Amino acid sequence: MNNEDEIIRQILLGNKELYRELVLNYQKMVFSTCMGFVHNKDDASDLTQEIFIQAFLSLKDFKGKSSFSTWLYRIAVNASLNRIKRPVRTWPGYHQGENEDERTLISVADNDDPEKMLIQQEHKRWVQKALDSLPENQRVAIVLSKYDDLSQREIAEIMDTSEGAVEALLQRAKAGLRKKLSHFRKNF
Amino acid sequence: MEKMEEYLEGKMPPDTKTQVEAHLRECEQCNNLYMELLSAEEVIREEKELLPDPFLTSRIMAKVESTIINEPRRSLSPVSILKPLVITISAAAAIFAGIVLGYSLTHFNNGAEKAPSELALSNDAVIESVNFLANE
Repeated sequence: MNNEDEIIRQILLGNKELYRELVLNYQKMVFSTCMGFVHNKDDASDLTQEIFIQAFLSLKDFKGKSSFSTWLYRIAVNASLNRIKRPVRTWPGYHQGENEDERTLISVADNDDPEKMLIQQEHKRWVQKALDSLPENQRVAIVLSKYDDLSQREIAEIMDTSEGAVEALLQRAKAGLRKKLSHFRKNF
Repeated sequence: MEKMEEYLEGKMPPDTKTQVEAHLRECEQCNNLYMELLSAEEVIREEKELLPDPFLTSRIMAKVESTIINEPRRSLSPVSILKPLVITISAAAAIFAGIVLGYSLTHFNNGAEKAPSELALSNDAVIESVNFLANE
């Protein structure tokens, strides 16, 4: 039994404070995954919190068949996919994925080239939209690859599929992204 | 296109890399696509480097402290299914028995007013005078 298994065992016996150790160890990992889906720091923080609470409540069901990180990644991916499917309340001028500071007027005093700033922000939105437009499986694979730097073997374990299938998903995702980005560039 | 991905990810052998770079200098279309992909990688890198709220751990632990860890879910077994059924049936049987007993007791008390006639004679014998009995 490794140290992490012992920590989980103690948590289930009632020593909740030990869960802090798991949170600290995996917080960045979960947050990065969430960023790949929601592209917004505040939303990613809320989602990360939701994921860790869900993981805590489901800890009794963790059988140890996979590593704890794999199990946590699955919860993070499912929660992120559910979050992006939720209808978002919008108001005129709101673009999902933008931080509040991006929606405010650019102060000329703070930036020498506001036009360049606008172009950069617009390009960022292109990239986010291109990622968001991918089919679900491709999106999951590309987020785990690009945002979490996971190997194809690790992604295959999380997605419960073969390495070959993950490779195919990544290739299709990258081809899709190239196509979307060149389309956006032509229309800008 | 696939080579461009390899080039971007730095997974290309040196001689192939040199060839790609030479091509990018000559081909405007490929160079534009390369720049587009490079800037997309930059957007992803910026998002990756963001850190969560420094108070996130505290918020999570506050919620964790207020939750109760439930017992592990037990798998369904014949005993777990039958036990509540047995208890219910036993309770119903006890109630039924109580009703029957109560009815029986009530019925018995009402029947005592209709004692056989022989009992009525013996009761009369009790109240007959002593003189009459002596004359027999």
